[in-house]
Amino acid sequence: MTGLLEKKKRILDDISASASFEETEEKRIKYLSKKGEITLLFEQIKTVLPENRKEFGQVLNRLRNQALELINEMKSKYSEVKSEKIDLTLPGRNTSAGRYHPLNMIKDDLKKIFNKMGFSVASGPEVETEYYIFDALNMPSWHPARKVTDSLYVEKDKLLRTETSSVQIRTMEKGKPPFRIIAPGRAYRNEKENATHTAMFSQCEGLYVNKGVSFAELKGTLKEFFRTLYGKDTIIRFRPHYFPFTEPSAEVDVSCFKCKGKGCPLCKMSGWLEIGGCGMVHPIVLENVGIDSEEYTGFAFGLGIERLAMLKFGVNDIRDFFENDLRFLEQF
Amino acid sequence: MKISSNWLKQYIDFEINSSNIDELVYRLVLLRFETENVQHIKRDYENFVVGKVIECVKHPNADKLTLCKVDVGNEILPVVCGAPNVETGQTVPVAMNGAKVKDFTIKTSKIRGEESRGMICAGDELGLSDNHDGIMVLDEAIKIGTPLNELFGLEDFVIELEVTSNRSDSLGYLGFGREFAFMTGSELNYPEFKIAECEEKTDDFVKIEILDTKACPRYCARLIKDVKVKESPEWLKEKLNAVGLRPINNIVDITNFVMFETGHPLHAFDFKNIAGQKIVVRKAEKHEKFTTLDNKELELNDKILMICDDEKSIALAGVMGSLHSGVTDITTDVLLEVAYFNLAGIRETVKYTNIHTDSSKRFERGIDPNDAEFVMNRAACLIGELGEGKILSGIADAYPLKIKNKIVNLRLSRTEKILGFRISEDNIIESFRKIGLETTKKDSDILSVTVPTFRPDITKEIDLIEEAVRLYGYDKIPEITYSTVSLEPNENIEEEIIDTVREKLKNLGLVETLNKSMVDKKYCLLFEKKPVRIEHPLNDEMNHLRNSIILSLLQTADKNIRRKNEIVNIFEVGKIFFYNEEQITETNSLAVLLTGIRRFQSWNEKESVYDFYDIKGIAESFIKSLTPKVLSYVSQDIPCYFDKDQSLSVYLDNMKIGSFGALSLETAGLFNIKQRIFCFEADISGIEVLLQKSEFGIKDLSKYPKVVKDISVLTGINEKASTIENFIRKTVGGLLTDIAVVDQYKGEQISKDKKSYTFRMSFQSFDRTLNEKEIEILLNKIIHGLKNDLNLEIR
Repeated sequence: MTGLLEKKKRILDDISASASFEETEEKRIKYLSKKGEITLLFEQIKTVLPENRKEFGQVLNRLRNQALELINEMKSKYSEVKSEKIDLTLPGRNTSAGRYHPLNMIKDDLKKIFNKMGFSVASGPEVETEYYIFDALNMPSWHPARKVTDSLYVEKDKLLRTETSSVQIRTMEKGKPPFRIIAPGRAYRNEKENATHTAMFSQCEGLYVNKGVSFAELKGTLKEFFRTLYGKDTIIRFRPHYFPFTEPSAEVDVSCFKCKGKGCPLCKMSGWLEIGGCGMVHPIVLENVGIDSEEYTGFAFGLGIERLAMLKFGVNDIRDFFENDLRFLEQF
Repeated sequence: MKISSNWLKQYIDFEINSSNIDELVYRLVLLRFETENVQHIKRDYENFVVGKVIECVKHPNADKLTLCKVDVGNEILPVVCGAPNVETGQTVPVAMNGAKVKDFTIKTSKIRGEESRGMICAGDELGLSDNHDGIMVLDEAIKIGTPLNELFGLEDFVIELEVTSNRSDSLGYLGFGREFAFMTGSELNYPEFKIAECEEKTDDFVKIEILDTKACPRYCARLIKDVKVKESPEWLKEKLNAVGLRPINNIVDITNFVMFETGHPLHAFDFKNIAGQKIVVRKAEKHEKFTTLDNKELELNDKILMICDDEKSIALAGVMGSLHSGVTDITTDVLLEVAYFNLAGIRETVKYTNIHTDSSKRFERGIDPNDAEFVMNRAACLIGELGEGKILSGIADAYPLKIKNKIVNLRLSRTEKILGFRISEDNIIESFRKIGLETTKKDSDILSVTVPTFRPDITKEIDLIEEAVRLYGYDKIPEITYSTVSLEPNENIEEEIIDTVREKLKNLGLVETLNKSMVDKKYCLLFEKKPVRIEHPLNDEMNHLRNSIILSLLQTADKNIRRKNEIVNIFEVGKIFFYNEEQITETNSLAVLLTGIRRFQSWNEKESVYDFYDIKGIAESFIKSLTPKVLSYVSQDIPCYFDKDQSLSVYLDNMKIGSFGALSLETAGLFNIKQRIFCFEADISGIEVLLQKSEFGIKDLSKYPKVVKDISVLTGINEKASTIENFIRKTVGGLLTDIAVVDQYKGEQISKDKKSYTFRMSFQSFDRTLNEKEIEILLNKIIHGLKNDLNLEIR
């Protein structure tokens, strides 16, 4: 019995002397595992005189509990968070964040801004019939865009849309005014590619048809849009132009956000950036989809997404967007 | 269309100069004349005068030089001259001290010991010709001392305008001048001339017969006899040069000049080549042959309008003359044509022949049918003057049905409604008047506008509204915004789903790409859907539409691998196109591609490459982020371009959502990629169903501690981890909150046909703390089951 008490003291002292978490674990194995010293002592119970067995058992139990408690205490002491010196100049563990494509970043911007202005998003097929691309949009039969070789036809009367304007018709056909939509999407032309033209490109179409929609409101709407996109002091300019599907029509310029209109290489010293076309939906187009053009008026606009992206990110060659070189994409 | 300021000056009393050109260009833009380029041409002869050579002596120290005395009016200058043709008595251009000749400035100097105080100039030194053979000799009549600027000085601004395709009237100086005069507040003056006709009558020599009056509503001709074909005078050549035309001879030059002046094309025939003294306007016959004046042989169709004589065709109407009908050096009698052709017919000819000329460009847009007399007389008069011809009296004019001015009504209220602001009635009437639109007031709201035939683009009220705001000034349009916006619910669910999908994939660390829809057919054939062909592709790289997003990603991967971009982890969401039962169908689809290095070696990590479990992880995480439902991953219905041994499909109940895994070696091989590629693809329509059927509920969280236990199982080499996992789940039931394989071991310590999996299991209850005993019972149950039911060994 005294032997046991001495053992107890020795064991507990030995455990207390552990200098680390690992050493404490070694002690646990040494004393408390299946073949550990304390575990083996329990087997000695049967060799102890019957009258002493109860006490022996109690002492042993206490020893086991004390040892376990001490080990846990020591372990938690050693596993406490401690500060140590490390080499701060080693690189951090790599986690990749993922990227959006720059054109889609602009597209997302457009959607966000126009959503706030009450425009919802519409879409339409990319393979379209001549009716939706040309006829319904008042495109005269001689218009250069109608040349078979200038567009990508896939069947007779079926071609890849040359503008997203076809979504205007699709939208108006489906319901009754008011309509207030934007339609970002792809468009195609059978064009030799260079630094400013690709056979596939992205546009954002906008359409607002209601009672009392006016040219001045179109100008105001686009101005607010560009102020949000390029900064509060942005101003816009309308230049008269001719499009078959709108009248009056305008080309839209935005004051150069880089030089604030003073003239810089980005705006070719003009202070203005050419950004898209717009106008009042031609009465013929409204009539084509069964809308009374006396009662309703509307405006429409088309913005080139690549152009907006090239300006915003300073990309000089439009083809870079479709090369998908990861070194390029990872910069955005 | 090029506008030379010197030429324009003839019709408008307005000086264009360096100080106002920028502003003018800006204001032209606001008037719908985009400027492509402004060329400033300046010939300035400061310190150059006209002089007379009064003495020539041989230079004492040089064989080829002459010592001259030149009278320049107020003094006599000693000049050393090297030209072989210098002679006493010549009137010559003299560069005096301070004059700049090419790159050097003239100053008093000694040439081989003799003083020289100026230089007698050759044509090339003045920039007036290419001649450097000798000095330029001027007309003796010119007064000595005259500054050379008075003779040759020039300042011209050539403004290259882009005229929109609906405006024909601005393709002539007078038409453009109308707009320019309006803009600058000046008056437009038509050229004045008096035609001197001889006794003989054109009608007696030419008969005109129009067989298709729809295609040719008007045809005028006039004969001019005894013409001398020669070089045009300087003023005419200069004008043509300024607008980029090459002077040919006086007759051709006059037709071009008048075309640019009036915007109305003319044609000059050699009358001697016109058989039967007759002009016939008719459609070509099918397969009719025609040789153009630039000697191109054409085979025509029956839509093409021709100008013919009694025997043969002599011109493609409105486009180009034939090889032998035109004016040449030996021509004496000229038949001038001024006609009006239907726009559509000319477009037909241009489209069919692909011949574009200054003439066709104007006819295509529509010119004024009613200015024919003016145009004819102007040209005839000039031919009379410059070609000394006899103008026969009268014009042979076939104009069966006169085209009249249109009347179009403009409502002031409608104008305000469209524009959103008011332009005053007076402003509209006045600006309309200035550009030739006369208005009369019908009632308090309606203006009745007479649209002259030179503005065929105006046919409707909306055209007048546009005209009103254009003339008012686009820069003055107010910017109106309304703050009350009614928000319509967004009904475009697919578009929103695409954005959600893009966000989830980006958040998984992937890079978004955008590829063209057009691809090479050879790649399409690899994929199951029947591809759509493009009819007139620019090249073979884009002769079909993509029928799989993986196809696009493979092209991108190939490019990046070749550029040594070793980590390729990309995705794209976009349209694919294919035939579905002969119907062209387009659907949105997503795909992910991983290949190459997953992690570069670093101080705390070994380099690793992508494998199946990466793409599986992407697919699993992606789906988990969309739905709380547990989907099944099975080896079933794997598309042919995947490697069957390393691919799975994902199912929601019986609906396939997508597939993922390694691509087959053949697939990669077609793109010349020699490393393993891992892809995941799914249709957006499937994702849409998945989202519709999934509602994220908030799960209660247990307050009681969880107990974690590991168990290692020795299994046959082909045993699936999922079998064991599912067995354990079933055995334990609700108390098992999580189970995962945390280790796989194959190797020396176990036999070759075995492997060991270690599963880590979490147990937790919602209503109590689990005690050791309960856990032990559960573990025993698991071990027992694995041993007896699955016949596995526990390590």
